[in-house]
Amino acid sequence: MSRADEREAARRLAAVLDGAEPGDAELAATVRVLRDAAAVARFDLSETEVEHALERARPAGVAPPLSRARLRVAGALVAAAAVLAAAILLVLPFTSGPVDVDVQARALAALGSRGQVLGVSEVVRPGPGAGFPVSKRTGWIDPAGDRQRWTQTVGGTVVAETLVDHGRVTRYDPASGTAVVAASCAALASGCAESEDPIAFYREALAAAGPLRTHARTEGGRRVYRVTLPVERLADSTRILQVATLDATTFLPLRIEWRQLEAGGHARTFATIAVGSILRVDAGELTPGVLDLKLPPGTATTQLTAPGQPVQLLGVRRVALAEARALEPRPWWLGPRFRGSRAGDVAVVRYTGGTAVRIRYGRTTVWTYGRVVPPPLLGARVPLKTIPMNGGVARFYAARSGRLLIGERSIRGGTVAVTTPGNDTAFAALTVVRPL
Amino acid sequence: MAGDDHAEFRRSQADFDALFRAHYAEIVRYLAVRLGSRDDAADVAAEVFVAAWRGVPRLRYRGRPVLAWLYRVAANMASDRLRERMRQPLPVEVVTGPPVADTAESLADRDALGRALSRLPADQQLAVHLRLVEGYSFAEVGRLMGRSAGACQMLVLRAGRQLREALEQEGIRVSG
Repeated sequence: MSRADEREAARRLAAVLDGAEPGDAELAATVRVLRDAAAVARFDLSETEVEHALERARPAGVAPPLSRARLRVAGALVAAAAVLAAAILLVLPFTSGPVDVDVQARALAALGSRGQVLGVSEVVRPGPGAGFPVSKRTGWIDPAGDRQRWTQTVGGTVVAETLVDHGRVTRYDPASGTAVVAASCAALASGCAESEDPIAFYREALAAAGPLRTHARTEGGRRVYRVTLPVERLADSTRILQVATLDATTFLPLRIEWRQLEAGGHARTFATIAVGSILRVDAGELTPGVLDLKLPPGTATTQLTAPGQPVQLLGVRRVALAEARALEPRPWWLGPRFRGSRAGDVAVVRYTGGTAVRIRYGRTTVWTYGRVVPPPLLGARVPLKTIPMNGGVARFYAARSGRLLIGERSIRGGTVAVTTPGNDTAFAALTVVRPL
Repeated sequence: MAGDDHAEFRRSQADFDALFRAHYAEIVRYLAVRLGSRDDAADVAAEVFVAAWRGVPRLRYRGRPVLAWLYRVAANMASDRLRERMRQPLPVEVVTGPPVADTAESLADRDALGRALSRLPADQQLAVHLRLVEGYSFAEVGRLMGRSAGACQMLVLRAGRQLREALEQEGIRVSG
């Protein structure tokens, strides 16, 4: 396209943004994406927020600096004040500005002493613009007894009941009547972030962090500290971090943000955990049974292969669809075609510890597996996005490679998972996935 | 007309509170896209207005509003913050939007859009922000950016194409 054509295209775009008809589909699509992007970036600040910010930006009761015209008149006074200020700075060189303090020990102590159990409630929100519903978690964390028991709900529906007992994970999905049991969170495809409560995860990161020097700031009229705790570095150099905002008086977390920092410096929050309450209760005073999880009779339970040694690929055998249909348990698929791609490359993949069935549709792959999680499905150490779907629960997480998104659902006898390059494809695939 | 602009400039210099109340929110929105974090945006916006408190009364009028100076300072401070983040990864949140109450599919698109927007070149981000988020005319965008209206139209066109490409790479088709 010549420069003149480009200028003409830009002029027409401007006209459409001013209300003219687009005329062609190409221009209409460009305008639409711009308007959608603007909608994502648009948000309002409350009057209170603006006034708080104004108080911070303008020292109360202090007159604004002099204008250019008056500046010369006040020059001598300013110079004298500068000399005085310099003298003060020489005498008291380290008393101005915010003072950094180490908050690690106090933040850790705020989460209870040995022998105490934490009763927690949290609201997990997706990062702005990140989609997926808000979920609530309530539960108990017993650091000394190495147990956690929590319940996660989305819109009033329980999507997960989880018990972590000395590392052993039991996750019950009441909607589908299925449960997964793993000897360690490492056996779960999405890893430990899925099984651990965010406050327990924060507590562990805090304990491992060492000194955390930071200074108090005011946020919404409250004095807070903000600390950053590393979580993981993905294969593509993306870093996962927790950013916790602590009350400067109690040192308890008010908010924990899970953030992804890409190699180029771009960053985004994919989940924010607003801490509702943290109760500290002596273990002896706890109601018996609150740290237990009893599975209802008839629950279809999948025992994941215990980790300890890496899962190794033993072989791949291509099979016809008719042969795959006869396998037990029967694999799941997306139908003969999905988004323009035909079901192809149907294979039984054998690993140490179990087998999986893989069906490819272009860049989308469907896996059905039981005891062993295929290594391509192992997730980054980031929180899941959990949503009720088709009478069950779908979980979405990023692959450890950082490139793919994985969506999975528990099914009788195992799990069906879809790997895709984008969010909407994963969602669409899990909506239509069904037994072969 | 030029006289009105000059008078407006003088008023902005004289009344810091009015300047702040008029433009703080839009500077935060701009920085939220640049920095990918509303918290960081609020921090940097506060620094921008602290600089404005000191610097605006001493500005000379050169045919552009005080807001152009605010955006320039905000852009420079955002660049500094991004460089600092590269050295010592202080993390961030993304652009923010209204509470999520959409279908999951369109929310997935929002996620991709937020990412794509944060990756646009700085001048394209600013042009899109001024024209589409804040609703300034291209003539005003040109004055604020110190460029011609046509050049700003070109920036927005290229931004739109880059956003579409980024979405298509994620498997999201955009139709008009």
